[in-house]
Amino acid sequence: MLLTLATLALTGCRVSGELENQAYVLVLGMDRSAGGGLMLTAKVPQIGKSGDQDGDSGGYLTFSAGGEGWPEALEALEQATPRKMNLSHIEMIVASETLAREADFDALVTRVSETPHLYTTARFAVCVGQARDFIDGLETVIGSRLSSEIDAMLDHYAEQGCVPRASFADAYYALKSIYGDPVAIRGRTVGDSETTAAMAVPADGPETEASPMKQRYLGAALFSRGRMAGALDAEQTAFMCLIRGERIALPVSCDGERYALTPEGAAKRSVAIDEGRVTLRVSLAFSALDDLCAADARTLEAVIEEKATGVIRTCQALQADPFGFAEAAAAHFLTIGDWMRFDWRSRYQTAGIEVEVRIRESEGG
Amino acid sequence: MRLSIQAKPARAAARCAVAARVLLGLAVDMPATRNGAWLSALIGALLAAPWLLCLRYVKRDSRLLRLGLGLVSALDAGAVLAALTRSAGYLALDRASPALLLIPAGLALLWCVWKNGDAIGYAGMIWSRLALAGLAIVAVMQTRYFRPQWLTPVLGEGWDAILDGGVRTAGWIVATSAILMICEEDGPRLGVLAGVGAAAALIALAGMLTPTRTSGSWIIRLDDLLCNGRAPLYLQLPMIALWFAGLMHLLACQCFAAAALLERLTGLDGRLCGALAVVSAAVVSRLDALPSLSAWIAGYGFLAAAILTAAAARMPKRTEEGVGT
Repeated sequence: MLLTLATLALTGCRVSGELENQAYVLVLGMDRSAGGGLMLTAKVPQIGKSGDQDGDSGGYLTFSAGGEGWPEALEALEQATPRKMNLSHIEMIVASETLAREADFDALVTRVSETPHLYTTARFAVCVGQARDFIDGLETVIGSRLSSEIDAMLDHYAEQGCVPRASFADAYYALKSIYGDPVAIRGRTVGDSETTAAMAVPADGPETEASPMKQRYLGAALFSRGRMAGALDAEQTAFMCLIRGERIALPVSCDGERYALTPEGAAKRSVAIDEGRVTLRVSLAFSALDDLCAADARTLEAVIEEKATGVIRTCQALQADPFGFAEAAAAHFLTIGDWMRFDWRSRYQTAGIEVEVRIRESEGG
Repeated sequence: MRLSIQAKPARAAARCAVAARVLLGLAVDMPATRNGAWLSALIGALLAAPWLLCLRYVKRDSRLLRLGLGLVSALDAGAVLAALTRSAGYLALDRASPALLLIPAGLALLWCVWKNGDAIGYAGMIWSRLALAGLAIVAVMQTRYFRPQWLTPVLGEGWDAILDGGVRTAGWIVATSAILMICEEDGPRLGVLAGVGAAAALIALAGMLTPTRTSGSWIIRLDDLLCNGRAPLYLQLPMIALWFAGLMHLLACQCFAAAALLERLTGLDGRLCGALAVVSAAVVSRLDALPSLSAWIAGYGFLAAAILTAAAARMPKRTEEGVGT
C-alpha cells in the first residue's frame, strides 16, 4: 500500500517543476523555412494573464525558432522561450501543407512522436499557408482559455462531420501501421476582408455568416505513403467520417430541399476478396428527422450513394485509405507476412465499390 | 531473522507478479509476437502448468533446484529493475541518473523483503483487487477507442514467433513463481496461471488501442501501453501508478524469493540474504550484458527449471521417519 501511495510522488512537483517556471506549449507549428530547415512556432500562455479582462495581450505569446531538423529546431525554440518549455499539454500540432507534402514528412512525424514528454494525443492539423500565421491568429473568442476553446471548437466541428477527429498520435500510428493511412484537420488563415463562417460549408449549404475568428476549417487532409496526398472538402469529410463509422447527422440537399438525416448506428464496412479481386462494401442506414415520403427517401438514397461512392473514388485515386478498409481486409489473413505480400495499396486503388444506403422515412412521411 | 511465507499469500503474490512479468515481457520487452502476443501468453501458461504441478512432488531441499531457481529469480529481478528505472527515467520530468533512480527503488525493495514474505503476499492480495478496480476504470473510460480489427492478422508474425513467445512466457512464469518454493505447505498452484490469463487479456485490450506496427523502440512501446495516443491526461496518472506499483510488487516477489532460497542454501541471516538479493538485482540491472542475460532467462529459464525439477522429483523425498519415495 505504501508503495502504491509512493507512486503518487512521481508527478515531479518540485521547485523546478513549479507552474511559474514552465512555458506550457498549447499549439506547436511546423513550417519549412526559407533556408530549407525546419521552423517551429509555439503558442504559450502567460501565467496569470490568461482570462484577464483588461484585453491587452490576450494572455498568450508566440515564439518561433528554426534549425536544420527537428532536434535542432526544438533546441532553438527552447532557447527562444524564456522558461522551461513543457510539451506535455499541447492541444494542437499544426504543419504547413508545404511541409506535409514533402517526401520525408513521415520521418518528421516519427521524430516528433518520439520526443519525450510530448503529448501526442494533441489534435493534428495541416494548414494552407504558414503554420506560424495560423498559430499567431489563434485567440480566444468565446471561452476564457485557448486550450478549452480549441477542444470545444474542434469537437463541435467534428460532431458536424466537417473536420475529422484526428490526433497526432493516430497520425503517427497510421503512418507506421500495417493498415490504412492517417488524416488531419485542414485549415487556413483568412484575411481581414473575408467574412465567411468559421467552418467551411458546402456550396449548396446554408448561407454563411461572419465570424471573428481568423482561422477557417476546411475539411480533411489525406495522407498516403507517409505524406499529404490531397484534401477533402467539408462535405466529403462528412461522408468520410460516416464511412469510418462515426455517427454524425448528415444534412443533404435534394431538388432544392434540405433534409437532416441521423445515422442508425455506425456504418458497416467490409471487404470482399475473391481470387485477388477486392470489393469495398459499405452499408449506411439513416432515419429522417424531417417529414420525408418514400419517393423522396429513394431519391436521397441515390444521392447519398453517389456522394459516398465519389468520396471513396477520390481517395482511391489518391491511394489513400482513411476509411479503415485495410483493417477489414487484414482480417482475411492469418499472418502479417501474408497480409504484406497481398500488397493492399495497389489492390485498393482498383477495388470495386458497393455502397448500400437505407433511409427510414419519418412516421409522418 | 528467517524468511518465510504462508501458502495462501505466496500464491497471491505469485499471481500478481506473473501478470506483471508477462505483460512487461510480451507487450514491451518482446514485440515480435505482435498480434499473437495473447496467444503466446496462453501457450506459456500451458507449458508452465506441468512444471507448477510437479513442484508439489519435488524435494524442496534439493540444493541444485534452489540454486537454479534462486539464480533465475535474481537475474530476472535485475532485468525488471532495469525496466523500472528505464520507465522512471522516461517518465520523470527531469533527467535523472540511473544510479539515482536505483537508490529509492532498492531501499523500497529492501524494506519489503525485510518485512518478510507474508507482508509481500498479503500486499499482493490487496494490490490485485486495487489493480483490477483501477484497470476496469481505465478500460471502461476507453471503451469507445477499442478496435478489435487491430488484432488482425490474428497470428501476427506467425506460429514461430508465437511459440517463441510461449517458451519465453514459461520462462518468466518460472522466474516469478520461485516464491512458491519458499512456503512449506502444499496446495493448489495452478491458480498462479490466472495471472497469465489477466496478462493475456490486458495485452489483447492494449492491442485494440493501437494499430499493429512493425517498428518502434522500447520506450515507444511503453508509451503506447501507458498512453496509447488517446488516453486523456487524467487517465495517465492511474495508468502510471498501476505500472510502477505492479513492477514494484513483481520485484519484491522476485527479490524475496531469491533471498529466501539463498538463505536456505547458505544458512545466512535472512536480512543479509535480502540485502544481497537486492544489491545483486541492482548490479545485474546495470550490466552491459543484461539484454543477453535476460534473453537467456526468457529463452532457457523454463528448460533449465524443468530439468532441475525433474531431477529433484526423481530424488527420494525425505520424510519424518526417514527417506521415502
